[in-house]
Amino acid sequence: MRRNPMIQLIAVGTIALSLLLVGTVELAASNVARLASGWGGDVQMTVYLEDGIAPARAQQIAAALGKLPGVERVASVDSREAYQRLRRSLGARAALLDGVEDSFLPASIEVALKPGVADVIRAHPAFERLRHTAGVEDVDLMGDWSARLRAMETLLRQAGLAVGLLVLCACLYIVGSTIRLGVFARRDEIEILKLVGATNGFVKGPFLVEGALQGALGTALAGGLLYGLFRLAQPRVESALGSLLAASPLTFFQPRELVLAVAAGALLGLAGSALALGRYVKV
Amino acid sequence: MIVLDGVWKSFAGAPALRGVSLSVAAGDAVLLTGPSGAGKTTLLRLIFAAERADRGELSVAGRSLARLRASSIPYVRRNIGVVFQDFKLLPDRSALENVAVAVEILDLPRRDVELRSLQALGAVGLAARAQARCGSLSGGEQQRVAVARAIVGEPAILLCDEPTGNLDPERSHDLLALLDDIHRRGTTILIATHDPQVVDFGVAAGWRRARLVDGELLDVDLPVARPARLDEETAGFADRAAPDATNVVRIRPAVGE
Repeated sequence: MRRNPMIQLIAVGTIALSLLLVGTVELAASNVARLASGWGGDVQMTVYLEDGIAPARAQQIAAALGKLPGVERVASVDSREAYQRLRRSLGARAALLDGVEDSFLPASIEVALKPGVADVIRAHPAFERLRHTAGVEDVDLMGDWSARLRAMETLLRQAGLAVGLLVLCACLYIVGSTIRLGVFARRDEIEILKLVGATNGFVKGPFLVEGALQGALGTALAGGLLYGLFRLAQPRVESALGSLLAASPLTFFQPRELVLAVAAGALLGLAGSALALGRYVKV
Repeated sequence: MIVLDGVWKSFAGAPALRGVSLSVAAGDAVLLTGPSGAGKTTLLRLIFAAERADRGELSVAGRSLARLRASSIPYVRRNIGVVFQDFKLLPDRSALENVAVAVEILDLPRRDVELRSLQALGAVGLAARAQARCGSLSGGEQQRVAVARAIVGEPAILLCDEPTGNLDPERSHDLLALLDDIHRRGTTILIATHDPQVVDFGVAAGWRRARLVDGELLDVDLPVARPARLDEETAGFADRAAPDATNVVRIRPAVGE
């Protein structure tokens, strides 16, 4: 790597930019997934109860809902608990609720539906009957938002996979080309090494290490660039989405994930180098 | 040490060697003469396994090269030193680094690599020029560095392909005297040449001569008695060239003896 620093820099930089694209898509997908989970994605329906409803009536409605086919579980949320949840979701802006009574929010029953039921319940007569049941103020199918987020996450991951495959091929090509250039530049030395009895492993070893280093450094650089972009974008995105992100703020990759990514990058570089050497260096 | 029996080799259908049979005993010095294109270089390349014979048997130190696996070739080459007309040195590196290339592959400690390389340079009278860049050395010095690299691993066999091709007569004589010195210490030597000076020196030194013409081995001389005058000329060449070179390369006994 010392002999051709400019070529190495270009290779590492190109790998970094390619992986930056993959990393951006993956980071977006992981944050969307977390957001969907944070919204209680498995709660597809919320039944809001009328103010002043008797606790016995609320329990009766919850019990009846729990017995319905298609319902996986129900959970009652009284006014006070609803208030506490709102305070938590506002995060730093919880002070907005100072002075507000903790019973101003309606009690509700959260219903988790079995897979597939949420898609058809809106058209089912039972859904309309529930709306007009005594003691029920409103019924909200929250699953729409969660489903949209899940769909967005799926789309992002599919896009990430497609881009990732392209980037993988590109990185293999970049590393392979750089190694081939290095082999060509050192062809005299390689010829002499072969003449004096160097094994294939002795000749190829330094090039394999060079490829692995390129992959690892490129990945590490991509991680650094992505973190810089994340820090720049985070306040803007959180400002734009407001309270939607209050309970699930944007997060970067965990250190363990970054270490794994760098290791994968090193393996990628090693593979690219091995593929290039296999054809061009033989004793 | 080296046995060829009915060896054929062709390139693109054109035969370079036609049924060559030659036996070189351990400790022999053989001149392989003939015009350009006679097949001398091809024969040398077959011996250090850079090519494979199309037909016939070829063995080196008792090992058949026809049945040699690719992974074993490096280990055969470590027993054979090779010197070329164009030196095949790395001009941007020092003489010591160029010689060390042949020792580094043995995975020895750094200190041993440097010590053995210096010893080899001392044997060819260039210990004082160890740190000089090869590109700055004269042709004669560069060829001696190439010889040092060829013998640093203490090979049993030394192959030389037109070693005096780029040297003037005086440097050629010095080189030949060095090779004779190496031979007298026990190394089997095979020199391919069409240089009359080399032939004259070799005949005078009592080396055998094998003549190749158009890929065929026409005749092989028996060794003649070595004249005493030549012993006086070539004795202690390394000591004369580098009076302080007390670390002389040990030439180990030829394999098979």
